[in-house]
Amino acid sequence: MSQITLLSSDNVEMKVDKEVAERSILIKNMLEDVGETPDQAIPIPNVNEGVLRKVIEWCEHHRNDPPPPADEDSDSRKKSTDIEEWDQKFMQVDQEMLFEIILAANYLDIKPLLDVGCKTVANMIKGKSPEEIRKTFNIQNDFTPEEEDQIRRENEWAEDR
Amino acid sequence: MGSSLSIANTHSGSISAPVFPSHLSHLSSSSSSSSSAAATLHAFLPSTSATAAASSSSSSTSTSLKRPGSPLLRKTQSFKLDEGYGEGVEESQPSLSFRHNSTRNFDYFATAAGAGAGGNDCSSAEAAADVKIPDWMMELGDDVRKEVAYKLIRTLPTSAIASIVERLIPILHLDFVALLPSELSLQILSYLPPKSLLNASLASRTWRKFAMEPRLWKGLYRAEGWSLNDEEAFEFEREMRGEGKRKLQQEAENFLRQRYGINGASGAAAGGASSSTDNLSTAANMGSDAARSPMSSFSTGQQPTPPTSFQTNTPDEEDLYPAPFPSSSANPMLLASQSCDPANVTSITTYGLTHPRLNWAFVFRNRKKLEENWRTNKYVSFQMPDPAYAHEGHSECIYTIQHSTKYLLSGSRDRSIKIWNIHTRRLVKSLTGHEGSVLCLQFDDSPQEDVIFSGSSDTNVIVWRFSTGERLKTITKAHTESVLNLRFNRKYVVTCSKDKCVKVWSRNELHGGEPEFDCAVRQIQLGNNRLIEPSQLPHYIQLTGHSRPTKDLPSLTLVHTLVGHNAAVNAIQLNGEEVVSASGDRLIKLWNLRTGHCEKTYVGHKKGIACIQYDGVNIVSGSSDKSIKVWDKASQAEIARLEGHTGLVRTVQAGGPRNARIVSGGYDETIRIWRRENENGELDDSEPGIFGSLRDGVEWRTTGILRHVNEVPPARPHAHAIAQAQAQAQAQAQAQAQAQAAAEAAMHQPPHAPLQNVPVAPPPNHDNPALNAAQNAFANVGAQNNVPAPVVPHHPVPPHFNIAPIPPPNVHQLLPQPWNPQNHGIAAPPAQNQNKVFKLQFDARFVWCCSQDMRIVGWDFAANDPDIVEASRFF
Repeated sequence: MSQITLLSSDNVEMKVDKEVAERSILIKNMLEDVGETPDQAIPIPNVNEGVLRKVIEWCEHHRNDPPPPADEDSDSRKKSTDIEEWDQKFMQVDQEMLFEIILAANYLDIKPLLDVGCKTVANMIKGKSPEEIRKTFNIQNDFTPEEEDQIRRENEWAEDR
Repeated sequence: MGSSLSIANTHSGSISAPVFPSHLSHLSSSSSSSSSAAATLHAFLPSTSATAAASSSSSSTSTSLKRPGSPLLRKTQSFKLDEGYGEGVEESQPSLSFRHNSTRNFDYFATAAGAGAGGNDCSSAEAAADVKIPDWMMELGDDVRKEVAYKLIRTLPTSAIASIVERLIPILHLDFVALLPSELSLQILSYLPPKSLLNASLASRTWRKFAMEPRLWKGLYRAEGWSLNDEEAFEFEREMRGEGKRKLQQEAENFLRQRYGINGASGAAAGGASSSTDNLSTAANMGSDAARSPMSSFSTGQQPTPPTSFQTNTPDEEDLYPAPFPSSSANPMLLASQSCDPANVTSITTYGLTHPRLNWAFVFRNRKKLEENWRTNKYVSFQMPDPAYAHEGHSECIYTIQHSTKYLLSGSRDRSIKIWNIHTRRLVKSLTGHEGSVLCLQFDDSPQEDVIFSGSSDTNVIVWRFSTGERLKTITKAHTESVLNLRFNRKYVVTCSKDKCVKVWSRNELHGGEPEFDCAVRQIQLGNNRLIEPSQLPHYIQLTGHSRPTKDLPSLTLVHTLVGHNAAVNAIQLNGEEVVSASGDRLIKLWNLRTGHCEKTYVGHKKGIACIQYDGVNIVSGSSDKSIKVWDKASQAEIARLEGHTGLVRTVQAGGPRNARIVSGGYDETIRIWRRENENGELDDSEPGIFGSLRDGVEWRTTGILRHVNEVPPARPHAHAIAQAQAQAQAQAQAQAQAQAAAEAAMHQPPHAPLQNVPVAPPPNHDNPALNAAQNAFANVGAQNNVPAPVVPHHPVPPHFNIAPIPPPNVHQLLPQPWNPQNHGIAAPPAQNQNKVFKLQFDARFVWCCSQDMRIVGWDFAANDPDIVEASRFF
């Protein structure tokens, strides 16, 4: 099993199985374009050590996942926010780490990880009142009470069922 | 106490001596246990960190704090400064930062620090803000510092701990919308259902801009399985771009007038208009804060390359959510409306800098309202012709209708086809040519096709040019008996008849070598082609020598005669190269048009079948056994049975969101609206099970009953009473007429189930317990909907319509009506048994239906809601 070395933004080197690293389309394409340079570490300038370790942990666990089904039919189906159990546990981190993972998954082009991250955040919003959402994400309410009332009234149509 | 102070003095010269004591004295003022707290502090500091402290004390003189790099947080700060977001909402400093949100903290430090940041002279606050962690302490490992911090915190009274927790919120709770590139924020929000998205839209102005993003709502709209007119949406946006500012301006003005005329326009507008500058000044304040703060060195300490994802944030953001118009050029009204409510669900457009866009939240909301109206039977009805132009109508009952977005065509027993403008409800043209009742028709008004096909009891099929009404071609004696139904696509025309046959005609010329050509030749050989005798075959095929035939076959050449049914074929449906046929022999057959072979037969109805629908997966059939059945095409399994009609089911259409709606009409004079629901009464959107079966608990339920008779008030109300009396007298004659009509429509039963067994004239409603029950069940529906047909404004006929001359109203009763011996005049009121439903068609918003009455009735589920009407062009 060939290994490659990744270099985090804070200059920490990490050895990873090539197969694991190639869950990242960015790295995969890079390796294809540049070819393997076993001695040279691949710099990942946007991801620090802590986050990169976390991302690699995810890639390790999902190294044998089949490629995601390329069905564009999902467009016409209600989007599910179901997350498999291991991923749920994996995503039990502080918000800073969560958003760093999302950014890293986006940068490294690991779509399934990005999806899991986004779903995790979506689940933190789902079913919450506006006040609870503000609290969860430390959002300052900058509406006037009148505006808020107005919007609440406009939103009433979705209150059914 | 002395010990801890001395440590501080020794190891951190930068801490000003008064600060720590002032901190503690504050504590002691609010706590009775200050001495014990101090003692604890004294006790644990040396014991846990003495060696580390000693080793690091001499070397460390730096004032900057070391903390593992966190690009997100660092960038967070600069992002906010650049963008003017946050207004002090975000504090992404390390935990020892003393800057924080002054509005939500009430403790001493918060007030002091806030005051200090604001530049006020407050010595104690500045002193507090200057507190530094001794360098030796910073050298400790994370675990040790964690323990120190925890134990230090535990020395504080609960109220102080609570205030610390409060101050930690900005670290633990991050506003991702301000942090992440907008595409990622949108992806997160795209997982939310409508209700959650609306709640999110109330979090803040910035969140609202994101949560109301049209792309999100378009996604939600699609996810509901609702039909969507992409072309119209594209056209709308193109229009908006083209007309751009003028329209935008107008809408903004209208919007303000409407809303703030009631709500205090000036205040809200002014508040909104100033908010952007507020943000700017906040940003500026924050910038200077950062520059002044002792922590500012933190961000320059390590000089990391900012993540590129953040660098792209700004242009990206700009593109998606452009800033308000530059104030120099902006219309103040416009600016006001934009910042007040950049995207609301009450307007069909939503604002952006570059161009207004279609507000998909608005479209979504109104589609949802429309679907609710379907479920709760909220509609208004109307009729065609408009009662004011009753003379434009047919003089006898109408057997068939079909509509497009602009036109409705009707075929009548009076032998004519009429073209109606669906919006003005006025007659456009009347086509005559058939020598018998027009029993079936199909048209395509698109410029590429521009064609009408009609079939009649005169056994002919006529092809018309839609736009001009000219008669292009006639297939004389297409069948040996009435042509009961016809369907066409680009390649074929398929007809079926009382003569038990289904015939397939080529729409195009056929050339040698094409498979259809060989089929057509075979039909000639069999003598089925009436125009080309078998003896003429040598003109079309070379028997020897040449492989290519000499002549092409003309369009509308017979390609197949599908034989197999043992009774009249009442209905067919064409889908690509497949045809399904429904017959009085109780069978449904599926035919392959390439081979002309019957591939499948569906058995289950107990009486003849009158109508059929096919979408490639399911077949829906309505029968004289009063039931509707849904079949799985592939497995031939009957997957659902819809029971409720009390007479023959003459017309059925399936469709709607997720194919979960069926509308059916029949000889019991009712139209039933069915909905596929799960056990909770929600629309079933589950995937079909094995053999296409429905999931457990899923059922088709009637959600509404429409009655033609309820919707067509007599054209001359004063005559109603008389007419009612006459109605009974006429009933017999009517019944006969119906029997004739029924015969004409050929609900032919096999010998063992003769037509006469069909309840030709169902008992009047009041004698029918089942119907009464149904009526009672829908009593509220009736009450709600017995709205008189809305008074339709008499639109002038648009000049571009090529209208057939309209006889003056007083002449209409003199029109020749040779096929109706019992002609009772156009304005005859509806009577019992006069409204057997022959044909219906529905789309997202309307149900149209024709019956034994001479008037076409439409039900509009937009129910006069102007918003639904406005949005419905995109449905």
